[in-house]
Amino acid sequence: MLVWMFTDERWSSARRFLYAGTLWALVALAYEALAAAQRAWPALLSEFPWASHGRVVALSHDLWVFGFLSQLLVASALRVMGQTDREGIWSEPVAHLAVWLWNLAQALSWWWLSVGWTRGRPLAEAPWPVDGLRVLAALALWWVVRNSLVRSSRREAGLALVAVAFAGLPLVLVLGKGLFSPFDNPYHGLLDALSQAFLRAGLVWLWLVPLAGGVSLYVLSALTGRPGLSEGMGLSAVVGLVSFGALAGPAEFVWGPVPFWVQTVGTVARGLLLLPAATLLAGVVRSLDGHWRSLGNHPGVVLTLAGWLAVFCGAAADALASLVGPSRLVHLSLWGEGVRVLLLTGAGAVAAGCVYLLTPHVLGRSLVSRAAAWRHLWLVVVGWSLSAPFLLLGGLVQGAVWVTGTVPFAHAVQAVRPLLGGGFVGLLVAWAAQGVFAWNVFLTADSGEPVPAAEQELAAVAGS
Amino acid sequence: MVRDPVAHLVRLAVAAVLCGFVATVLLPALDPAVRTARAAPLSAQAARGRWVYAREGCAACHTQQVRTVEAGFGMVRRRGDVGEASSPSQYAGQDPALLGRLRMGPDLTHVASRASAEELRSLVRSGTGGMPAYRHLPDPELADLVAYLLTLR
Repeated sequence: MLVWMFTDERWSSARRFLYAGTLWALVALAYEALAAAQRAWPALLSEFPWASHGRVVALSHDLWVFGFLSQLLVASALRVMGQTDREGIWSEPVAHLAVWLWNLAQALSWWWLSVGWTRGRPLAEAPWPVDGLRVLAALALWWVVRNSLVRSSRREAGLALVAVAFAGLPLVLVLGKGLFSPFDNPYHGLLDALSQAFLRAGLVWLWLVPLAGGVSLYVLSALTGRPGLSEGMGLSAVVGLVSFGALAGPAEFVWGPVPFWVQTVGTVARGLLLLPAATLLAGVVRSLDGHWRSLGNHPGVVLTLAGWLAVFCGAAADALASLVGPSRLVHLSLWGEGVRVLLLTGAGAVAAGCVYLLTPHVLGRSLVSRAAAWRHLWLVVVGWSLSAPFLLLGGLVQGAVWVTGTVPFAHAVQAVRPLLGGGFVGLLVAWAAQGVFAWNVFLTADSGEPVPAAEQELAAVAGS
Repeated sequence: MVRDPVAHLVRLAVAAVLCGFVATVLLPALDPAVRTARAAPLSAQAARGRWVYAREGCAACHTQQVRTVEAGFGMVRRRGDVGEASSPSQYAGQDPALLGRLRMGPDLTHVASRASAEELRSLVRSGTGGMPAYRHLPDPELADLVAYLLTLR
């Protein structure tokens, strides 16, 4: 049993992260769709305590960030890090330890949040034992990535972004979750709210975005033979993400009960985050230069590109909302939900795109159905088109009603209900897209055509 | 890894994350407005009710922060519904701080000034408008929750 759990077979930990992430994605998007449905039809399943809206919202955030996005991106990142010297990652058994810890934490989190054991925070709210397991898993992953990097002689922007993400995650978890919470939390009061904001911004800008950026840039460069980011662009992307991402949290509290100077720091940082987001998008576009006509053969590349466009749009909408003028309208409204959907579904598309591109290299088999991958792509695009714009528009409507100061609050709720229905349909379509993705991945693992060993190396397909 | 550019970037990233945490979480602690507690400590029952509030995820739909842009002139149903703007000292000692991020239901900062205990109990139990009914809450927990909501004046 232990031999199976901690096997040192090459790429086995990446495969397990991929399978686990694919399964958790179905659960995460089902909860996300349920939360969206309950916003439109509040009485839906409300008689079941484990399905009450507050618990479903907390669970959907936790599952989406840790169960789905993180695991798919980690799977691709481990494959990329192991390719740097063609020997595989530094230690498969240590990576497997991370796989088991991470998924144990996810299962516990699912159970505990369902029964209402929570710290009551608005993102990734699992109680401290779950956080502890996640920190251990993150440290194990960092150790594997660090030692793989030390062993390798390759140095490029994509690898730097991946390394920075793995180094940042344990810090973000420990600091943002409140290291001393089980004992005497020194961050109580407004500092607790600020540490929650630090966590939320950190998970997106110090973990998911650098990881997605590093993996996609490395993979696309390997496949096209063109480097995505120059040395200077790579440096500016890394420095921009870590500097502004670490300061962006307080932008959530513009017009809120936080000292004005803290709001200003957060707002400026959130605006400046557009620079690294644009740099990463530019890097992806540069790596595709000269290959635009062949995009029709690569749904994974198009999905990755579409994901980065969504992330950039999400960053722009987020920056806009933290400016003084627009924030008078949209602060605390559905606009924030629209931003969250854009950023997270964008990162999800990048993760899925990288999985498609890496299928022969992780699973050792060719993708069973390219047509299904295209259907996945179009369903994702339709899902975004329905959910994010409706939520953003709903935020504008809510804000416009609130600032009048004379229209009853209930009228704002009624006014956005049709838009919330549209958002639900969009998330339902996104869930269906994830079903197609899971079907394709598991069918490929089971019955895909084996790829010759030489073609399983990333460098072997450079220039294709 | 001493001369390794990636190692330098990782060290820079760790330093930036720590600096960001200090600047946006710890430094505000020095602000007198944050350190001064204005709210009275909760009774044991209200503290239990606050835990029910957190457990049921009420903050997923209800905020507890009055936007300054509306404070002073806004009304939801009658004068006083929005109330004065929130101040940092209101949250002193709260863990977790339940400010909320999305306002699908009314802001609850001053809810006790516009609803009685009986109204709140009936609202939570039966639901209203866009709010679902919380029939699964046992009576003692409902009483605790209402006791907490009544502290929000």
